[in-house]
Amino acid sequence: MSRRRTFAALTALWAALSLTGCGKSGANRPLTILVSVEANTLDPHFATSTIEWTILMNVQEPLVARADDMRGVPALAERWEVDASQKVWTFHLRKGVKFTNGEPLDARAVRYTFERMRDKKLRTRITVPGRIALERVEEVDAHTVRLHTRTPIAIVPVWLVNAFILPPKYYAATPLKEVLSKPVGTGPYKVAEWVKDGHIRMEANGEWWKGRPKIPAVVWRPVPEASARLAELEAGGADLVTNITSDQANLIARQKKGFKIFSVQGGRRVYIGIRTDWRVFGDVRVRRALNHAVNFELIAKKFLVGHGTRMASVVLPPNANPDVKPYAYDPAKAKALLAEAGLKDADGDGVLEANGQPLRLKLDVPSARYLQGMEISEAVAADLRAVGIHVEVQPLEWSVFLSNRRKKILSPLYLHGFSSAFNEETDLGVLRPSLFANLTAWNHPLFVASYRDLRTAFGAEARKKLSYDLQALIRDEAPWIFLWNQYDFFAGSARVEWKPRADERIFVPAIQMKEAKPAT
Amino acid sequence: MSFISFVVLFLSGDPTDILVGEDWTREEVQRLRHDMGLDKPWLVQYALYAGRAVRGDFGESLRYRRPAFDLIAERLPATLELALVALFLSIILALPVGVLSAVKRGSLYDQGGMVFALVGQAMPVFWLGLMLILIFGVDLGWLPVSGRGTLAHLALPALSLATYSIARNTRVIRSSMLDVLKNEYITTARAKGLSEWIVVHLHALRNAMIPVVTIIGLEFGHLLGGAVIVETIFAWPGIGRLMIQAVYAKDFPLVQASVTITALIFVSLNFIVDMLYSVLDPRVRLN
Repeated sequence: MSRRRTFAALTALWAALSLTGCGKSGANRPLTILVSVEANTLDPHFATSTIEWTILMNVQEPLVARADDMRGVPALAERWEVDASQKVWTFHLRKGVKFTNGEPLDARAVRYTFERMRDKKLRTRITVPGRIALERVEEVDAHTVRLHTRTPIAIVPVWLVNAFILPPKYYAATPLKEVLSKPVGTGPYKVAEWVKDGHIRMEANGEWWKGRPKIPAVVWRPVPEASARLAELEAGGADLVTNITSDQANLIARQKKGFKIFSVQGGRRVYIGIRTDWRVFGDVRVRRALNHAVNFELIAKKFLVGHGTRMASVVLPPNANPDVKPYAYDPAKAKALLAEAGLKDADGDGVLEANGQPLRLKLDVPSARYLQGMEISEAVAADLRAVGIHVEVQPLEWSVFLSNRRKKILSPLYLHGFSSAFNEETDLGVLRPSLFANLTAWNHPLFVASYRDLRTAFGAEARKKLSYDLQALIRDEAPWIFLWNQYDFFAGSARVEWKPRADERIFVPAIQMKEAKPAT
Repeated sequence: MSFISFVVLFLSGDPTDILVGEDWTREEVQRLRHDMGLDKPWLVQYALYAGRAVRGDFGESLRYRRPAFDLIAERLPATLELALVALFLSIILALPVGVLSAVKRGSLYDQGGMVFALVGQAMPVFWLGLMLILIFGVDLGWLPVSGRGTLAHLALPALSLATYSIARNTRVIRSSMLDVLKNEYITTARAKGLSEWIVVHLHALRNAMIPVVTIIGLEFGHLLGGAVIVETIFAWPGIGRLMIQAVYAKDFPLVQASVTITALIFVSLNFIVDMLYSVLDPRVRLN
């Protein structure tokens, strides 16, 4: 009797467990997106990470947005112009737009937003006012606003992509603690619930000025483990999984279980920085030799499942100079350049010497940071050893790498990546000597002068010429070993159709879901 | 404890490394470090923190911009839920296996139990967690793979977390029972003609439980520590995961607060265990 009771109890418990776990893969489940990290804040003035910007771009909108092809397009501003002084930008706001709490979008909201960014008490993290050298914001009329800058800045609209416009009454009257987790905006979705480290649930904004979003509800769930994210997709608990590796993408594609792989050439430029202040690296011939020594085609084939081509310079398409070609793999030329620079293997040990000292150095690699970063670095080190430069790969924890970067104590070679704002000026800006993350110590007078000119050049043709010339200069000067624009991989369920963006962000209205109907 | 964790964290880097954008200039980075008080000597930073902490103010998280204590309080129930269920599983499963292994020493049952104990202690928790996900979540589809919400969500993380403890407790209970069963009063009880069930359950088990209770008290601390990995694998929204994120982000106030509160829980539990000795063994008197 006792055994029978025990068996019955266990059966009931199992049934309860099974039933409570069911139902998640039903067709009515909201679109579920698994991300690798949790958002820390949903206040755009404190946001710093991709996940935070991703969530926010579905809830709030800027004056100028970045379209799926990364071009700047009108959002809350219908149009804009700059005056003859090149320091006054006039934005004409879209009429009839309302925030989801009922407040109207007007010039006052724009002024409040920029003033809040600069509120010293709040100590915000947003850098937009600094980047556009904002002097003041002027309300011309209800739907016209002017941004006055201290100096002419040609790419003001580019910097405004993350300047989401806020409803002034709500943000002024609500305690900071509350607005950090309950953002209000004009965007396609509203945040309905945020369970910390659990999920963010969004509901469609039926009043969105572009029309009702087709997908009525979205759930974002942080699942740190990549294997667990993919397992959730396989178990039917997710529709879109972010941050997977090329190996995992390959594996899923081979399984043929109806899952989809989405990939895109992202904006992250992965390169090996050359510290030009280290011994022979000040010699441009040596830096060019390093580039010629690397067989990127083989690296792409072996480790990147054929994805990706070598970067020619630092600017991403469509702003890249088509005449600037990537360094060709040519070990003979690399050896000739090294010999020309006076490097010889006098003792015959296979390692070149400069001033009697062998060229033995380290390549710092942040572990688990860049796609196949360790594998790529090991391959590059082998290529460099083949031409007589003994390179040893040194893996570093990301936090240690960052600390060494700040202290400027990274090794003579270091693997690094810069994201992009998809503009030639910001792309080129990664080589500014004043940038804390740029450890190349490459300080070319022509670059500094031309870059200064580019910042204040407003004409499209003038900008193009300056940018193209700078790209050619950088390619020739080779302060980096140019590698590739990292691909981003995503996995999706059968009911999702989507084209990923190059900026790693996910804009939900761009996703097609099979059974999705417009929200009511 | 607080001082050690501060020093270790401080030596591993600076929060501004994580907080700054790639397009920041050196001057902007320095300004942020100054604003956050990170340009002060580390002893001064610790003294300022400790001064506030003794008054119950653990400071504000650098990343979340919210009081560290609030962030922990939000997530503590999830971790306690997971750890308590794992502790419960570790006791109810280890007790019968350990007792039977001792009573039937050398039998096939005993050997099977010890093989389980060996394997259970040898398996890394992250590997076990992933295996459970693949078997019960993906292949069989019986249980949810990650997250928190229903009873079913608790099953896999609790089992992953409990497995090591079940194995260890089984060995401890078996060993403790074997020691007790050798005592003369057990022989006397048997000589008096008492049934084996009464001898084992009423005379031996109670005495065998004293070392077990000690282990269980410590076990809870182990479970809180193990939750760091399990919560990451199963996306369980507890303080373990919060601590991992805080360490990666060099969020000093949040790490400090997490360490202090976890240590307080651990010390409190051990105090309760000490109190329990007197209940189990009348020879132990608190005064």
